[in-house]
Amino acid sequence: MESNQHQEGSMIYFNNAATSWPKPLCVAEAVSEAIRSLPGSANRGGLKEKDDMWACRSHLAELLQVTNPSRISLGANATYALNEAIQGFPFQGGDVVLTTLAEHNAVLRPLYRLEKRGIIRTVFVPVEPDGRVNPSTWWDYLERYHPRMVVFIHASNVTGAVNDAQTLARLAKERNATVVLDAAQSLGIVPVLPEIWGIDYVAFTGHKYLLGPQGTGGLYVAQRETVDPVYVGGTGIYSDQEEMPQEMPLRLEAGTPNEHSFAGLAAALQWRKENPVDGVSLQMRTEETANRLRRAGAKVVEVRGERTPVIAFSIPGWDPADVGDVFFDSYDIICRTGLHCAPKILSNIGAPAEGTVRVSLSRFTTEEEIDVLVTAVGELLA
Amino acid sequence: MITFQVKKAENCFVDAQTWEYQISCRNEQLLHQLGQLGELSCKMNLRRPIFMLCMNDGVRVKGTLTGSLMRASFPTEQWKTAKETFEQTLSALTVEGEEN
Repeated sequence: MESNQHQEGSMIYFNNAATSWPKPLCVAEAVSEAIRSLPGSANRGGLKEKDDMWACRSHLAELLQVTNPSRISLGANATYALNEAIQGFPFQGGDVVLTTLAEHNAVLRPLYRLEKRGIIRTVFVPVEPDGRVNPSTWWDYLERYHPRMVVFIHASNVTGAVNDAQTLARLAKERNATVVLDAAQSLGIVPVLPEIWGIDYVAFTGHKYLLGPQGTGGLYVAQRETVDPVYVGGTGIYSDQEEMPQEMPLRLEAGTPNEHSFAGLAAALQWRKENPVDGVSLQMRTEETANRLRRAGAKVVEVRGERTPVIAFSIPGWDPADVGDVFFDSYDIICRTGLHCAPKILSNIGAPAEGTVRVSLSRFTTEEEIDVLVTAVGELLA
Repeated sequence: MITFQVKKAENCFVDAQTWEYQISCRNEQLLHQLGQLGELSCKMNLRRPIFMLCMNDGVRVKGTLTGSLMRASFPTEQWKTAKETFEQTLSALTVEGEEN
């Protein structure tokens, strides 16, 4: 039977931009231990309390190089965080939000919603053929539209191109715009430094390059910023107040958190600190893989400069969805095909309407796995 | 007679109508009959060889030869009719050597 043809241990995983796999063993152990242990006491703390949420905040503050871990609220994922930042922002009717054609639906859909309600007007900045924002173009749009807020993706989840977030943020600040960075694809693999770069909000996820469990993520909020929480409810403390507390991170953390998964994320953050990723080697390996795919006949989206280990390509004569099915059925390769939840970028990068095939490597990807991928492309075209 | 379980396979496109069929035999046991329903091609050089069938009514079917799972993509327009017809056709196929 078909289902017996795939054994989990023999699968070749090229879908790390969706969620990372494998995770370090200590992540599973931490989740398991947390779920077998007595639950926490809902922010009531005390010296004897094991606080995995606070451990995450401390690790993340170190990683982001921000001075106050309390400015990092933890939640379900980057989408949750982006909704908090975008929908919770005190817009005044008619404000312009500047964003890019490379954005994920996690940014686009909150913006569409606010636009439909007449709260904002969204302006899209085109991107280069590799998916990167050109700072000169960015500046032109800033001067022309005077946005109240800018929201942009740090690293494209389609092409892997990393934006010069520091420059884009600096230019936006020169025009007094609030800066929101979507770091879902970058945190853990390239530097993300909001205080140094002058970024007001950073949305991130725990389950991609931080190697934590799904269902973890968060939002960094600069000290000068205040958002109106999208979700309100119990906080375990200050229960005698009608409104959510003003203080961070409580302000953005209504309801019982996913403590077990955050125990896993804390373990992952500790693990990656002890086992830092060699970003330069991974980038070189990604480029070499892209070149090999190109030589095998794939039409690869060319990305120059800093990138994450993501490669987008198409195979002449093949629908991307069919390629993904053949990779899976015939070669045990797991990848992602289609629009990658970023539908507006395709026309900018010269991709067909059906989208692209996307493979995304990790520090754990082996040469043998890359060999199988390249072989598969060659044999599809034979 | 072929029996099968069917489940929708989602992708990025709202109008996509791709369904997976887990059938009661190996795909290769139906190849001869499938070939009479449209244009059939096989890629024998792949690690697990596959078949791809373009049926006359626009239905596209594919799967590995030795597997028992096939994916059928139906034309967006009138996909329900095409799916119903495909399932009737699939049910009526017989494994070689099996009596009707």
